[in-house]
Amino acid sequence: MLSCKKASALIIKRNDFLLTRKERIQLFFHLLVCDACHTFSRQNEVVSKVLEQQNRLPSNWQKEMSAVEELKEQIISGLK
Amino acid sequence: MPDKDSQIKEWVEGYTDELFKWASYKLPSRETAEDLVQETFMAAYQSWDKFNGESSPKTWLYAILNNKIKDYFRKEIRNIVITESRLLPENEENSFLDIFFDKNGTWKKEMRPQHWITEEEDLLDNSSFSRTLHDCLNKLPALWNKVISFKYLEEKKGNDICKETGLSSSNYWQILYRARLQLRECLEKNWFKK
Repeated sequence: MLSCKKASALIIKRNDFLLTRKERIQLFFHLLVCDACHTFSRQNEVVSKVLEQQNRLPSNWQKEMSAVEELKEQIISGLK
Repeated sequence: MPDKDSQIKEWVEGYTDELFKWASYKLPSRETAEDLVQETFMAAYQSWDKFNGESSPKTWLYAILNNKIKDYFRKEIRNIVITESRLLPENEENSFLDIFFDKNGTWKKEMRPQHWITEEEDLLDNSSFSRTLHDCLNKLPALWNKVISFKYLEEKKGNDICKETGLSSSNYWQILYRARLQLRECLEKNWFKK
């Protein structure tokens, strides 16, 4: 039986790489019986989706940002 | 058609704010963000002839900036891969993962993932959750943060990311694994239990 440590590692690995047949089967049976790893897997899917979103949408919250006037001047003088 | 100089100046006036906000959101330091925004306008100036007006200037500038941000992360990761003999901390096998798992590899009671009370679909498009995630990303060790940032900017997976950065596949997913353990834990502490 796979440990939670190994199972959770495979859960992350499978986002990026194909698991071997043996790994897939072991993970499948582990997830059937392990609520914690099942939760870990679902939550990581949500996190992935939000990370993907953060790249497409300009952030809908904005950090306090000091004036960029200086930067503008610097850019314009750099173009000459 | 307006001349190149006055056109670019107009763009600098109009878009610097927004490009700089985006760059500082994505990049670890203000200085890097400033540099890359400046480089973006220089690149736009130099390849002005290639701008054909099919897309809006804003879209074009964003595309240039995003490429610069990706280049930055790619180079940073490559440099770390070349110069550091160890990408994971020493004795890491016993230290970092031991925070989460006992000696049998079972979740420690206090680290076991809890059910999150908010429905998944309510976490998407949730600016406060997104912000907490962003703060948690910034608490990761620098290399882990860069690897995640690069992966999601590139919108690519495993082997492609490894090819571009020079990371071995095992280093790459071991880094992602640790980063994901820490991120999830950070979200649970800072978002769900606050």
